[in-house]
Amino acid sequence: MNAIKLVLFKEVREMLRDRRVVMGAFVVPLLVMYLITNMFGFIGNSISDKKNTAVYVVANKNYEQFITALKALPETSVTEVQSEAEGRDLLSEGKAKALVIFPSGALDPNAKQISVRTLYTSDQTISMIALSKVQAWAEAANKAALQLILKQENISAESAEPIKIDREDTAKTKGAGESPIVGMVPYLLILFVFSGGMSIAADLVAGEKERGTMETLLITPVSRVHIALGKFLSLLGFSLTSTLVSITALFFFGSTNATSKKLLYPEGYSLGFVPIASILLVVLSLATFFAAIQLLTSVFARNMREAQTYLALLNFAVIIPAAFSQLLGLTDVGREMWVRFVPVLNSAVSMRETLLGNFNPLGSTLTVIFNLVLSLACLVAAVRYFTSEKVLAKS
Amino acid sequence: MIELNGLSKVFQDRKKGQVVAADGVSFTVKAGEIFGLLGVNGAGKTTTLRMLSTVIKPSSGSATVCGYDIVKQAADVRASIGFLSTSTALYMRATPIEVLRYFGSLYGMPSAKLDERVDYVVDRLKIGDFADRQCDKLSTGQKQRVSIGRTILHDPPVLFFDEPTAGLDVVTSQTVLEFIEETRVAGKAVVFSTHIMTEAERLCDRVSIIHNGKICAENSVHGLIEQTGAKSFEQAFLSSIGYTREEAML
Repeated sequence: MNAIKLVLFKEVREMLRDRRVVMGAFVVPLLVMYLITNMFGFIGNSISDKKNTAVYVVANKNYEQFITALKALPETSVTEVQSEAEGRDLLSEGKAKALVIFPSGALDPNAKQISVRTLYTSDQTISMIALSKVQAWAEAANKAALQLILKQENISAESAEPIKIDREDTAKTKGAGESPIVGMVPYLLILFVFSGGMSIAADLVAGEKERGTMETLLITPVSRVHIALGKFLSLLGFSLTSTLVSITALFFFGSTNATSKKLLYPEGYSLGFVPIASILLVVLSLATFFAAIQLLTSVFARNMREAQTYLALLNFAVIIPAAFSQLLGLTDVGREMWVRFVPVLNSAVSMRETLLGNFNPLGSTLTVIFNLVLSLACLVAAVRYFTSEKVLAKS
Repeated sequence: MIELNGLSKVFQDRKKGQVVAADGVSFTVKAGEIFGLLGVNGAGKTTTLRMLSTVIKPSSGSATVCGYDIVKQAADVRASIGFLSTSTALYMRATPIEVLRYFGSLYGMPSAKLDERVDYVVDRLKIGDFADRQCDKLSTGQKQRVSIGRTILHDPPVLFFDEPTAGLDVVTSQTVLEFIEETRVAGKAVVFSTHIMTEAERLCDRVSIIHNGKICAENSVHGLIEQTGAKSFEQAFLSSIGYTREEAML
């Protein structure tokens, strides 16, 4: 045990002195989290900024009352232009996001419907938002007109809507479904856990082989199993610390930026002790699996370059299920038991359902057990390879 | 101190098939003796030393170091040896003191003994001026002094030197060679592997010449010159490995 501790402390000391590792495991995640939360803030501000959803309307004295009503649209700036040509120019320059054109000529008091042409740019999301605002204005105006007619005809408003949907939200965590945090947290956690260890894994064994320090270490009377375990624990500890820093930064920056807070947690968000403990256990088992497979990769590789290539390939194998986990809400896959036996995806599913307030004790337990079984298999393989003479013969 | 009996090592190579790196290597080394293992690159010197230091296992044959079997008592063998070569490096982000303390701890040295030995090594090898500087900031000569310190820190009775001066400048090589000479006086059993004949002539009490994994000759330096009828030790070496000018041209 003393040897494991010696190797562990030495590795941690070396890692903390490596600027590249500190940057990769702590500084970059902090910076990324700061940028992500600010990006959310920027997007939120951009949507709510009136200038960004600028609607232009061609001046028309005959439709003054409609234009006045249009100008009352919330979070939208509505400006009049003198001609359609001028409005089209503004639209093509990107200054106008939508152009509203009322019919020419006098308003016919007997007309049953007026056609309001609305020009927009479908390849610009912000233009589509401006269009939806104009449509919302028209729908509100139509509804008001309908209610007026119904009142005049002495018909109840309910008669015009024979079917009414009474919505009842059964979600345990209200608003969680719409919260981007549900999609983001499992994805980011998986990436953080993997990338936290990735910055040091290549150096840990393959780096020692390349520099020639491995032989020196293997000549000491310490058991190779203890050396391998010391390296494994340093890798695990480092990726967990890096993950903790990243996730703390996400919640800290996400909560201190008012706009991003509104976007990340639209209706507020809170988790109880058991769900948090469950997520932490899943993360711990996943980190153990990643540390074991990264150690195996580093032990197997002949040099740093080879190890980094293998780890980059492994990174893809992690990113694909992690990215897929963001779309899990569109499928029913999360309910299937076999998902618990798909590495990475199982952890994403467990974290997602817990964040949604549907903590599944059996599912989460199976995920943790399967991750630990995989970790053990990878660790045994890494230790076996490390204790064989191939570990040096390949260098 | 060191005894080898028909030590062999066969590697499996995907392209070449079976490669015999050491083939029935036998020799003995006594305490206070520097034994030279001479051979060209790829002759089997490093493989033999790696087997003796228990880093790799022999395919056949046996050997003991300080009475310990290299296969059955590998940990005891490793505790009894020091190993130095130019390929054994230092941890670049650690200071010399940290390197020494780390390896001393790995050798299971008690704290008081470790402090005493670190002080001795720092003083003996004049490491004090750069003891707290990270190894990546040290010159080649300073690094080699730290490597020597790491090798002798636990005061092993047996020392293996695998081409310890390869790639070093004249002054640094001199430091290493002087240190090896001193180990004889200290009563250590030393195996010194090299392909530099002048170093072998200067240091070795006896030499074995290894070629294609086999020992072709064993004698003292002067004995080998007499045995082969050569004019110099270098010629005696070439004669022992069956070198001919025509063969070299091929």
